[in-house]
This record gives sequence, structure tokens and C-alpha cells, in this order.
Amino acid sequence: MCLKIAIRNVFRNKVRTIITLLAITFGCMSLILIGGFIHDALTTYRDSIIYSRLGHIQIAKKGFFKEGTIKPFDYMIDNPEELREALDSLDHIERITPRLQFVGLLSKGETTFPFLAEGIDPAGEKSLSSYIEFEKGENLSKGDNYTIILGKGLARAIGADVGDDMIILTNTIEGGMNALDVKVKGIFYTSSKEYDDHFLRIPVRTAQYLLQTEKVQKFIVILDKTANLKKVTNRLDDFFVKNNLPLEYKTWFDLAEFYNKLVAVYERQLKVINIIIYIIVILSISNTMSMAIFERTREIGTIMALGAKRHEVLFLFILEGAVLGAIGSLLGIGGGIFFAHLISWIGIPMPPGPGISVGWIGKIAVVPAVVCISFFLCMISAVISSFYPAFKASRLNVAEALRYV
Amino acid sequence: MPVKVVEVKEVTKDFYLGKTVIQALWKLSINVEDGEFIAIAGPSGSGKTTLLNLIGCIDNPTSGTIKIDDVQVNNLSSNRLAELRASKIGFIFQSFNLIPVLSGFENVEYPLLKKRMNKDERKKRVTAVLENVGLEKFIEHRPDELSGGQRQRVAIARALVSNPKIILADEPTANLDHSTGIDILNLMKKINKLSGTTFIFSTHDPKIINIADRIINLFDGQLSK
Repeated sequence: MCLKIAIRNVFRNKVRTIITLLAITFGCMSLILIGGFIHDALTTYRDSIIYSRLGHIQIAKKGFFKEGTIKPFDYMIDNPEELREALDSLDHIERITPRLQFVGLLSKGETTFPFLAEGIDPAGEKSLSSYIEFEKGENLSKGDNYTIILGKGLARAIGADVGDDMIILTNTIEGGMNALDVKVKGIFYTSSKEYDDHFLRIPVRTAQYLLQTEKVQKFIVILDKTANLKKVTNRLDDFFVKNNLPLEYKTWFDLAEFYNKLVAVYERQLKVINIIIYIIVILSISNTMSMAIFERTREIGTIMALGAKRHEVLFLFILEGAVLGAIGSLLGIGGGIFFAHLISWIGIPMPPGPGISVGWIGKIAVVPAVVCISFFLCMISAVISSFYPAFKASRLNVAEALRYV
Repeated sequence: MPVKVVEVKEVTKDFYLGKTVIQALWKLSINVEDGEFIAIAGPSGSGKTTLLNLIGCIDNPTSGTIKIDDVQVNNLSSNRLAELRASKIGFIFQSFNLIPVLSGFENVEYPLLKKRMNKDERKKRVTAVLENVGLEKFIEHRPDELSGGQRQRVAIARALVSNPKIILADEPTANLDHSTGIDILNLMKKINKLSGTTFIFSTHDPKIINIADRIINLFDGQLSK
């Protein structure tokens, strides 16, 4: 009966209820849409850094991640092919591809420019190139030797174009100087401007020839699903111990410093927006309940005269707030899912973010966790906001309430 | 020997309007016996409603004592008073005070929800009471679909449904035309005779006052001689 009374009272003043429901629905919908947009933006960015550069896991010799920047050739993996074959047998690993990084000077005619290079296996790069776009030319392919692809910024800095012949000058791992004639096959861009301004990519065999080594610095591992990261790292721990391998790994999360900062910024922004929305929901329900109690003072006196206890009156009004919250939140979920699909279908053209070289099409993901949290937070806000007016109603003096006109 | 269901002893009730003290009742003492049909008469402001509120345990006296069915109510907690009202007292109000979102049936059923009673038993009891007040055809109607007389009949049924010892009616006919008012009082009288429920009602209408077995006249918060 209490629920019946609460539901009927909610629809007693239809206009006011509709306005309140609009506020709750809009609030819940906003939480779902904003949460979904941020989730999609972060997922897109995460995938772009995983699939363009970092991979899910990077495996290197122990100490490389700490000292490798200073002494890049002191922590090389011996017998890389054997290790690659062994790792290939682990579950959830889709692809393993080597990396050999070095620095040097790139010359074209009179112009010389410093670069960072990544020696890659063109055959094994397919999954890792899904977020690399080409402004001109094309990606490295199996069998390529003495060819390079240049980041957009680097190409612009040196004035290089597809088909140009260039000279790479670098130190071999023993410390001697070596130079190599190469041809530019493509000019690429990724989500990271910093990467595009400084990096070139070269077939790992050519890089090994230039550096005069058979070794590589690390392996990039791509998994079938990002969600399987924990399972694979657990297996890698066992694998390294079991085979007594002096190796270590870092996940994409450990390496993506900018991404982590971005997540922290977005999460903080989301919290602020959420708080604003809760305040709107709380104020609108609180106002509705206060008005309802004001109008129904005599009715409250009547039910108390009939024997309702103070806590029962409190419960009745909180229940009305909860009913409003539930209806508004459910409508918000429906609206949120509908608009998430509609907006994703249309797409939101987004400009490049800081440190990102290309814009992207924003979408809104329907994230079950975000939907559930939005629903419960709106419900909790509704209950909290009806508490004070309900408390005031429960403290009314019965005789005075009955006299109220 | 007659049983006292209401004992009001030396009761004073003051109201405060800012710094002004308004004395609504002054050292008033009355007793009501079980099964009586009593009218409290007096002009506006004589203290009729205040007295009914005190007997109905919805207000506290400034001084003096009140006993309802041998229970002294002055110092009871609000929860105990609510339980006492639910079990021993029924209310009929001048403006009917029905819950507008509930049907006639549901309004009458409302006081029973607090009692441990199954749905079938509740339905039986509510239907019987509504038949008793002649409203069996209007059980699904909401208050705004009923006439004044019909609303007051629902209010009487609601007051009766939990078999209270006392029914308090504050000016039950004030919002009704004369003949409907007479009908309502006759209905109350009939119930009083059949069930033995004690009725205390207030009125200032001299034309209907004579239906009462006993009249308590109030003037300026005191018994008028």
C-alpha cells in the first residue's frame, strides 16, 4: 500500500512530476553519455598507442627498461628467434615482433637531422600498424631492405619525400661509425605528434646490418584481447622462472605515461561533472518533495492521526523520492542508450588533442558499469534529497498539521 | 457500573502566539462513559476542537491529566500515542480528510494496514463497514468523485473499521447541507446503538445538537452552566 500511495502521489501533480523527472532523466542520461564518451575516447587512444607503438607487452633483457635509454646496446636479447618461437606457443598471444632502436643522423643533400629509429619486422607488424596512417607512400612490407618510412614531422623537418634517397649515419653496437643508403618508402602519422616528429622505421634486418648485430632489444607482444593482459603476464612470470630466462616485461599501461595522465585528467573532469549533475538532481527532487509536503500538510496530519508513526511518514516520503528517482533513472538509461547509439552513428568530429597529430571521430560507448553506476547514483541522490523534506514532514505536530489550510 | 473511557481532569491548554498566551482550555474536567453519544457544543473559539484533539491524543495538555480507556496519555512517547490512536480512537473530520490518491475502499482499508490482518480478512471487514454506511456501490471511487455526504460516510467507515473504543468527530456536519448533516448524525447514532462505540462530536449547530444523549457546553475554555 505504501508503494501504491507513493506511486500515485508522484503522479498527483503531473506538471511538477514531469519537470522533476526531466531533471533526473537528463542527469542520468548525461552521466551515461559523458561517461560513455570519455570511455570511448580513452579506449580509442589506448588502442592507438597499443596498436601503433607500444603493443600490449614489451619483453626485454633484465635492466633494459631502467638503463636501456642510456646504454641501449648493453641489454640486447640473445638468440631472438628461439625466444620468439617459444613465446609464440603461449595462449592469447596473437603476434610477437622484434624491436631494435637506435639514434643517428639522417642526411639528404646538405641537410642533416637527428632521428630516433625503430627497427621492425615488416611481416610481423600488421597488427601493430593498424593505427599508423600514411600521408604518402606505403608501409614497409616483407622482403624490404634498405628502405625506411618517416614520421610526418621528421620528413617535413628534413624536406624528405617518398622515393628520396637518404643516408643514415649511426654507431654500431661496438662503437664504430656506419652509414647506409636508404630509400624513403612512405611518410606516416600516428596519434602521437611527438613520435611523428622524431621517429623513422626501418626493417629490423637492415637495422641489424647497420648496427652489425644479430640481436634485438625487445619484443613487442600483441594479444588477442586487451582484457587478457593479466592472464598473459602471469604466464610470462612462470615462463621466465621455469626457463631461467634473464628477461623482464612491461605492459602498455606501465609505458603509457601520457595515457595515464590523460586518464587522471579525464577522471577528475568526470567527477566534477558528476557532482554538478548530482546537485541538479538533488535540488530538483528536494524542491519537489518540499512543495509536496507543503501542499499535503493536512494529509500528513490525517495519516498520523490515524496512527502512522513518525518513521512511517519519513519512509513514505523517502519512498516517493525513490520512486521519482527510479522512474527518472530508468528513463535516463533508455534515453542514454538511445542517444549513445544515435550520436555514435552520426559521429563527433574531434580535433587533435595535445601531443596528438590527428583528429578522430568520437563515439559514445554504452558501458554497462557506467549505466549501472549512473542509475544507482541518481537513485541515491533521489533518496538523499527527499530525506530532509521527509524528516520535516515526520516531525510535524499532528494537531497543527490538521489545522493547516 | 458504567466504565469510563475518557477521563479529563483539571486540563488546561495554552497556545503561544509570539509573546501572547491564548488559553484555549482552563482547568476542564469531564468524564465520558463507554457507549455514550456526546455532543460538545459551544461557539467558535470555545475550545471544542482543542478538547477533541487532547482526547484524540494528537495534542498535549499544558497541565492536567487525560486517561483514555484507563491509560494515562500525558507522558506517552509519540510512537505509543500513535499505537493508542490506531487501536482505540477513530477520527471524523470536518473536511473529511480522505487520502485523495486512494479509492473509498483503500481509504477505509488504510487503518487496517497497520494491523496484522490478511488481505481477505481486511477486504471482508472493509466491505462490511462500507455496507454499514451505505456506500457499497462507491468503493472504487476516489474522494473527488464523491459528494460531501458520501465522503463523510467514507470517513465514518474509516473511523469504524478498526473497531475503536471512541470515535471523535470534529464538526462532522459543518461542510454538509442540513439534511445530509442530519443523515450523517443519524448514521453515527445508529452505529452507536448497534456497536456500542462511544461517539464524541463537536458542533455549534443547535438544530442537530439534540440528537446527542448528553451535551457538554463549552464557553471560553470552560464548562458553561
